[in-house]
Amino acid sequence: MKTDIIRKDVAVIGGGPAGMAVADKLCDLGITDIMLLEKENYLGGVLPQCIHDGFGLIKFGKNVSGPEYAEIYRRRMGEKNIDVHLCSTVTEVRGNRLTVASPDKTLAPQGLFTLEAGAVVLASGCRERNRSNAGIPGSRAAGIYTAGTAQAFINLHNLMPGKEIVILGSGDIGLIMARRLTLEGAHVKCVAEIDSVSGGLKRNIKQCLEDFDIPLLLNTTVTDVFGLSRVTGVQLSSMHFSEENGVFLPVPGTERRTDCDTLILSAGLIPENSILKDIGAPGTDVYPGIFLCGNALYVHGLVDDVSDSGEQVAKDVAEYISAGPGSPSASRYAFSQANETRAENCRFLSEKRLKTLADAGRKTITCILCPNSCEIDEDFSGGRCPRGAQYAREELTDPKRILTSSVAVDVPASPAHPTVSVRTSGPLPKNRLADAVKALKDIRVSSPVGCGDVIRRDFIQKGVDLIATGKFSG
Amino acid sequence: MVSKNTKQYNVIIAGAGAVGCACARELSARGISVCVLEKEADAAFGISGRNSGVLHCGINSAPGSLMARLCVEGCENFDAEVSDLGIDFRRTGKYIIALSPEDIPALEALLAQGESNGVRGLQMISGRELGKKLHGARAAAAIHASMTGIFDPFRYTIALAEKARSRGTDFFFGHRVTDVIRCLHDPSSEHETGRFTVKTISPSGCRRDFSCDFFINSGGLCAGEICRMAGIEDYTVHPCRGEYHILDRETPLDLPLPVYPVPGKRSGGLGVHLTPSLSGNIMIGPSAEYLQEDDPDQDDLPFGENYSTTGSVMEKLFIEGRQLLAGMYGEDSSSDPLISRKDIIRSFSGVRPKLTSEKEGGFADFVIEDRDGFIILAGIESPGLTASVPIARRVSGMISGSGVSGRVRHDVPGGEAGTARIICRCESVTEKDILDAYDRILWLGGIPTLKGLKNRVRAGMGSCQGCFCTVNIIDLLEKKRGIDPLVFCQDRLPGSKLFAGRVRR
Repeated sequence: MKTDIIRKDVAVIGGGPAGMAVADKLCDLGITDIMLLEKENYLGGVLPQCIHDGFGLIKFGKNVSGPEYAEIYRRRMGEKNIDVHLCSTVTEVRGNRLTVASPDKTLAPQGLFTLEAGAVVLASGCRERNRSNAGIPGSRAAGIYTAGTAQAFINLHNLMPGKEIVILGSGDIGLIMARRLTLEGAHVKCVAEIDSVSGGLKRNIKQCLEDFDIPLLLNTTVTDVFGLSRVTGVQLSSMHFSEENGVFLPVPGTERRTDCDTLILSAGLIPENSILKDIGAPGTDVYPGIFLCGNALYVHGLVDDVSDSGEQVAKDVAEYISAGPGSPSASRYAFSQANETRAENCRFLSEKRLKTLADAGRKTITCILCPNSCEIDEDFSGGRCPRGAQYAREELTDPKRILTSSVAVDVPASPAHPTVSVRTSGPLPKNRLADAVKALKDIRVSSPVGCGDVIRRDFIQKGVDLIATGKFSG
Repeated sequence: MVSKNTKQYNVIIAGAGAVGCACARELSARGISVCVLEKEADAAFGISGRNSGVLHCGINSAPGSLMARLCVEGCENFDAEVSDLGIDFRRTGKYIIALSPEDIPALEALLAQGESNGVRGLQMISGRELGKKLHGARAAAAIHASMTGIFDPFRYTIALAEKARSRGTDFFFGHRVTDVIRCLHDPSSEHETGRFTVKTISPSGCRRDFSCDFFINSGGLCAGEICRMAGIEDYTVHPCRGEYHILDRETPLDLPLPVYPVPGKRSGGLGVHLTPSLSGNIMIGPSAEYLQEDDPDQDDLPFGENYSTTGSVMEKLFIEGRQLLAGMYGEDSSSDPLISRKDIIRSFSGVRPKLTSEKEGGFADFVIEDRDGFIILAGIESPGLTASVPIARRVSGMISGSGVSGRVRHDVPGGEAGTARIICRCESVTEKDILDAYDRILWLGGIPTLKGLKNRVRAGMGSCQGCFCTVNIIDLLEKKRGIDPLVFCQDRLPGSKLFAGRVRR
């Protein structure tokens, strides 16, 4: 059966922070004939499950959680009338022609439609390195999750992956999950890291591990997994880097068993761009109007940088469109430039790693107010802004933390157990966090709940409110 | 003593692997009442779902053996099975390569063995010819076996089970056989009793009795144990594990057909080989390591069912696989390696039910034996999948009786139009695919698990290995089928639960 081909100036693949920033910026630049394709039934990519705070400091100058950050862009999509298609998965890219699987009966009566675009922007994010990618031997029992999958279960589906946890990999998601699981009553026994330095932000090591006395075991990895049906334990081994073979090898005699029911992997992220595999290798003669941005290009540390990457690519795409489709683009986001752009990022990352290694021994207070993670010295110097010194003084006398978590939503006569994400409007004394989580367990909000709704005034402390960061209706 | 609620059948089959399901299909087509008892939650959870997925031509088996005869028969007739079962199959052929000239005599002996087994389509080719045919592969010589093919062993076994079910076979999953008792016929009894009483236990400890005239022990790794229940001490299964790596489909290697080395004489396997799957992944493996009962790594696993992978074997497979690939693609081993560890998306293992011990080595022949109604199928290792239908035909010949054939059930779920939303993007699996697979597991009599769904529709078998789609599958089943995620299992019953509880009540 012949279906009509839909034509657009720009097709954006992925409705996460990168894709929404592309569409948003393109509109500002006068390009409004856009189609945004998102595979899930919501916009925001991984942001709705990243209920912790720390987002938006660079982009918006304020500290918000993932769902709130997504909501800012989601509103813009509505205001700017962006043609958004949810539950729509691109199954093939050939030149500038996309095949899209969609449940939209008018667009795709047979389940598929064809979209032809002047420019295609891949903003499909990344995926997690899984157990076999990481080469972990042992049992194939239940209870092995990647950190992002575990995060989606806890924060979007109200499901606890386990009670006794070992986390492998100290990337930011692993650290964030260590805190979230601990606050929810799980016992995080350790975070093991094969490298001699953590790849996570220093402020996350502090507020997610040190705050809860969770050991970070450097130069250590999981070398076996035990259990028949469900994981019963893992074997940890000390590792050293063999320069000769270019791999980490276990130090003989250091194997020890740690009992646990869950192994969570935060072993790295892989840009998800395999959809472009059929269009040719970068640098070869492929359709010039294909661009990549955000984590589909390379993995970024901060969502603010991902949005920025989306805005940058939008400018280059606008230029490409106005020059007349088909002309080559020198944009660093163009598919033809992808390998160089990634190499540049690798150089940046290895420099950063060396700097982290050099700083490892310093006795400082890490400012957690923003991703800069400034190291404040004993004389209160070292902050890039005055808040650093102020924070360090407070941290010594009266440490405070923002709490991010979730509360149950009451849906009468429904078998589902929905929750909505929440945070405190300001920091609470650190030693009241456990009380605060306990209080959260008894709260039931009624549907609908909107992002920003105040759920409890003066929660735990006067002047601090509990506010919804996600939303729920139905 | 047979109680009133004992279910009675003409034939009871222990084990829902390929052989058990093929027997069920064969017998139920004759109108015989058949029941399959399986300890796992679903079909193809054991040996049948843990192998290379190769239709063997019969070159490797000893001349005159059942293995050789039934393998050749199965291979010759497979096209007819494929069309009856409605599954995919590709007769790719395969190469067995002698990497060095020292291997050529063994290769020639293998060719002679194949020819005496009646294998068609065997041809010895020179290294140079191989290079021309297979992108510059380098070897001293090779055998091309044109009858070899590849198929999906999960779908094959499940299709056999569904055929049997549609002919009226009853499947009881989560029913482990604990005893097989030969009954003395009591003419004064008012109940019509069969020759055997079969006792089972479920994972939750629920006991149930069955009765039958013929008992087929197709228990795979448990075949020896089930024999002993009936007082037959002749067979001991020596579990021999084979580990595999699966490479990402995105790996830019084109392997059109399986490539094997010349197998070692005493090795219990066919040697580490490269096999393409119908889905476009390359598998490296299997190793061959006998499991030891006193292995400390055994942990709490029942002996023989340790499907763990081990670091040292994983590394060995990777190195051997890379060497084989380098040779095949005419690459210097010093140049850029064709694959890296990151290309491995999954490592897994299967266990061979060998009748030869580690000391003896090699292969023992299939055991297909009728002991007065107790039919023993033991040592059905490779090429058991290829030989499964011929084995079932032989078994059928041992069983007398008939019934009213053609009681075809027309209630197989699925088929109606549904949503096209894709929820496993790596393998393009839709919501409808998942829900249909779920409904068909229930229809078969199985207990839905993540593995059961995956085996049917490949959700979670792609590059991300379920990092994204597992969340969507759990959510979909909760919303559309009312499944409580807290009781849903990954594979084994009842312990492989995915979650510890709710975050908020």
